[in-house]
Amino acid sequence: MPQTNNTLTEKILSKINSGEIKAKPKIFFLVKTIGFIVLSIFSFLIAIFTASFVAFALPLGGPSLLLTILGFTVLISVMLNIFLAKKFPSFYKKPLIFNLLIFIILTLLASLLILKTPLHSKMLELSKQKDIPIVSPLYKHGCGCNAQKTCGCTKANGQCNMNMK
Amino acid sequence: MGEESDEQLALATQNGDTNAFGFLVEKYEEKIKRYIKKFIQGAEAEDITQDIFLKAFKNINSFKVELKFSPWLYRISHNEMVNFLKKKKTLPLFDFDVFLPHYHVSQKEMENEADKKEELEQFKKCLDRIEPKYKEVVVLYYFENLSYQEIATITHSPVSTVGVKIKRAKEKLKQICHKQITL
Repeated sequence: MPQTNNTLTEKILSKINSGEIKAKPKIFFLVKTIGFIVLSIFSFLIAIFTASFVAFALPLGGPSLLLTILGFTVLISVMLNIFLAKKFPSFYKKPLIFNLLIFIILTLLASLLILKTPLHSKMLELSKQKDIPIVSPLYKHGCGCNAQKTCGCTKANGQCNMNMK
Repeated sequence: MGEESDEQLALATQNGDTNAFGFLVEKYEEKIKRYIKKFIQGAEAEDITQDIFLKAFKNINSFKVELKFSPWLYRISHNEMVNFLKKKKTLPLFDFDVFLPHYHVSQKEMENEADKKEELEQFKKCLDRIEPKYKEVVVLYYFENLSYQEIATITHSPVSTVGVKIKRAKEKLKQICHKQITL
């Protein structure tokens, strides 16, 4: 038993024994760690999807307020990722600028990989055929479909079967 | 109980032995109080010291027993101290020292430069005149005798940043102490 003539020890043990303060269970910390990891992955996915969408939409519809906002979303997602990653020793033991560069490079590489796939073209076509919440307005507006009769069609991609109805 | 290590006491606390936590409080009370009093004075220092141990108990199940207990407890103390100083607006919101990489100043290099004990005596007089971010690493290294690795774990920064901060702190302290002597 610790010495009980120590005021601070007495106060703290008294609060513990009376139930005024309780130790959080191990599951709380496990869930918290999983939460951080899930949020981190989600944030990274948002960053790469948004970055690849901006790269896809910009040649089609030109610069717009939406694409500018999405550009900032990519930056915010990268910063959020760094903030979350700093909880883990493998990240905070490196200078912050290294972490920033790593995340930016990973985001760019993953976005380029997505651009190589037909994901965005198919999403654009689907958006024009059906009215999907969030997705359809995003693709139509981002690719300049509201203003143009031919949408998503450029000489470069040659996919000129995407006319507005 | 006196023979058990801090980590064993922490494990016992995790298993429901509150007396084990009492031994940890007894052992670390003066160290934590001394650390906090370097930055916060008066009754607030006492309150914050109590809050630190209460927080340590609440979060005891997050402590991994294969690691050292002391840096974990100092990390909680660091967070409480930083939160308090940020509320008082005596700390900037962002520390640019952790942003850029630094030339690695090794602990051995630092100890070879001068006698640690002699420096400690000199620094005591001028410590309050330097910024909290430099004061903290000086306090942890010279007064609490923690290693660079431990200080890096406590402050969540690279080891190279710790070395650079200690070096800069020493330079500032030497300048300030020298000015005090010559005035």
